[in-house]
Amino acid sequence: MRLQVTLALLLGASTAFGDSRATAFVSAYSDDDNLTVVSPELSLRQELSDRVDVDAAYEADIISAASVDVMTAASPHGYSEVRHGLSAGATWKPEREITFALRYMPSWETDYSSHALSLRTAYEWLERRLEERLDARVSFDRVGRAGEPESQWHDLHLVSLGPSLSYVLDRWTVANLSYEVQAQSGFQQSAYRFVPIRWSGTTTVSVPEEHPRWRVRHAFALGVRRALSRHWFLSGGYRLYRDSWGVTSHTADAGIQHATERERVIVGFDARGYYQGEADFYEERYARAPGTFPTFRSRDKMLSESWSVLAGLRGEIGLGPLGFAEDVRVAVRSDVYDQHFLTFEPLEGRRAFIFQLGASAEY
Amino acid sequence: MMRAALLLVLALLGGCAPVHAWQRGTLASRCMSPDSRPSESRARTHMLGAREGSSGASGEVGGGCGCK
Repeated sequence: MRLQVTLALLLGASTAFGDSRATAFVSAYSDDDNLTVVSPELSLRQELSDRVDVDAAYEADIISAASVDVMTAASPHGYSEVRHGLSAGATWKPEREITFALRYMPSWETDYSSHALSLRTAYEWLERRLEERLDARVSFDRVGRAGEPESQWHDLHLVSLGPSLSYVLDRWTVANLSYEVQAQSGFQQSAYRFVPIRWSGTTTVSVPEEHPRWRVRHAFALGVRRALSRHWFLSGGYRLYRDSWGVTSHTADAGIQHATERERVIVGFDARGYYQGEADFYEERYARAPGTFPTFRSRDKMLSESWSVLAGLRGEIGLGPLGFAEDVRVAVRSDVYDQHFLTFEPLEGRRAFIFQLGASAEY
Repeated sequence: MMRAALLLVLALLGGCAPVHAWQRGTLASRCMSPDSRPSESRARTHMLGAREGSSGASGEVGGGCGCK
């Protein structure tokens, strides 16, 4: 009875404010390198007026790992841990064509904490045919080792700026153009990893990983979405990435979707291909004169030369009014992710299966 | 000046024919909006960001290293 009264009060309050939306979502990742991550998420959005929305979300990553990286680091039996993340934001539209969105996102786990703040401004012009966006983000992170006092953790800061354009080419086609520059400063290596250095034919020493303290990333992306008819839709895109550590990557993606009348059912298939070159200071095997070390050294497979393919099917169904909700939608998605490391000796590659299930209700 | 150059490029790309509100029914489809599935997009970007050496220009926000 008390629950019913509380629900009625909450729903009454939300009706007084305007539309609301609640979303529950879970994603599960499992690969053949003994890594499993289950990520539930719960988010709520409330319209306060015609011009103001607020939203909040909670997410977690429940991680169980015994991968090659972990087995070669401090923990020989793998580990389990949970990352918690919160998000609170507000969106304000002072005019029909102008949007400001501010968001605060803290997250924490046993060896990492983060406080991120993002601001988005968007302006539509040319009779709402062109939208300009500017995304800015700062993040203050702390990195350490599990069980270590936080006073011994290291700082990692990030600043990013991303202008983008979305343009309606014709009544069937929308194109997106975006650029982002990120600058990261601070502790960027793993607090756990050691790098083997071969000094002579028989002597090998292991020293802590060392990465440059600064990293500046540039990413440029182009995307196109086109409706072939009222029921069939195509999408495609390309992204070029380059950073100050010498990593260059190319990403291409394409997808097709089919929607039934009133979008009651939507099904789709999409695929993504990715290639990256290795960082300037990364070597698969480090060999140096006895008693010397490379200034920067890494055992991070994310800095090695690699390529990957991601392909997935998704389906979405609108259930219409259900209980107190005006509209309920359920979506399911399943992907295969195949990643190959060309210059990382301990692991040639990994294959992962990803499953996602989500439900959203508007009331 | 910048906006004039931008307008010129866009005009060359898509022409100047107006797309009226009543012609935008298809453009309003969930299939035409990259923002219509925020949880799905965020989870995918987070997963890829923790496994590949590059990030950016895909709309991701938020901190936390996740698991590699």
